[in-house]
Amino acid sequence: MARISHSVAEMAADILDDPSAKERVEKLISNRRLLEQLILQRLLREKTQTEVAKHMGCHTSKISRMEAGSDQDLKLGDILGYLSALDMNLSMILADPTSPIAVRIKHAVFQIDDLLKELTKLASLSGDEQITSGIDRFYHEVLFNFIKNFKSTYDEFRDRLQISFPEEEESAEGVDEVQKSPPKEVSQREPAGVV
Amino acid sequence: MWKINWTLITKSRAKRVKKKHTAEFESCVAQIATAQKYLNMGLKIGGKLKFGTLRPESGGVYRVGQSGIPSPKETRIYLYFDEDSKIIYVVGMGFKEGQSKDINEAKKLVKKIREAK
Repeated sequence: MARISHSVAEMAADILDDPSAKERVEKLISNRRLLEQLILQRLLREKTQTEVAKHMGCHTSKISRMEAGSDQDLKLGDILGYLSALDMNLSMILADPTSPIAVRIKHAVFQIDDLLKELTKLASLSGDEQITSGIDRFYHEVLFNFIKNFKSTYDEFRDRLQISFPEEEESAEGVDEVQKSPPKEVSQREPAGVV
Repeated sequence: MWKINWTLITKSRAKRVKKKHTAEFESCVAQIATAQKYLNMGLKIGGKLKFGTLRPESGGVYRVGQSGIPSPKETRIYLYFDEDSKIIYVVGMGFKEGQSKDINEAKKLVKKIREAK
């Protein structure tokens, strides 16, 4: 009988003749998410383990062990060294999972804004027409994709809650009030937890 | 999507691993899952797929070993990536001390898979 599957965890359970192996392997796999991102970046840049090791001043076997291990075993210094070998930086987001989703979205929007400002600075510093027009194209793409995705998510939200826009129900009560109150501009330094 | 085929692994071979060295075996399997993920993303084999303890041997055979296990039994799983059918074949498993014999057996199996096409 052919033993074939999409899931290596299923294979492990079958070979070991132990159904609980599936869960153990799935846990091992989920503990490798960061590592998989790091390795993927190395493979995409066509860098070898030896090249990374040389940059980090260690033996190739250390890179091999690091890549074969789990996220919990990673040391920050090693992550930084590995990324540096790939000409990459580490950007960290310290997330508070207990924050309301609205607060987290707001922070993400401010982060995007910061990055766009950085991009604008880059455009003015470079003075290169090709770079500037590339950034200009990028702005349009970002705006288009954002509005498209925002609209689609918002439409889904309205469908689910069966909400209609005030202008669709002009006779509805409170329309004047809504129209008189434009969206509030929020301060970037507003403390977390305030929506 | 890439599948994994372990039909060629005999019960007797699996028995040796499952008796005492399940942690080592599971560590190898987690790395196979990473390889499968990359292949599903469209990465090509062509000698580039070398990470962790996964590396090419000769004759189309790849091997993966355990990692992160204290005082481990050096365990190996041998693989063949068939890009046409998008199947990862498990063509062998065993321990370091028997690896040259295991690699030769794995190579024979790869030859048979290729001939059967």
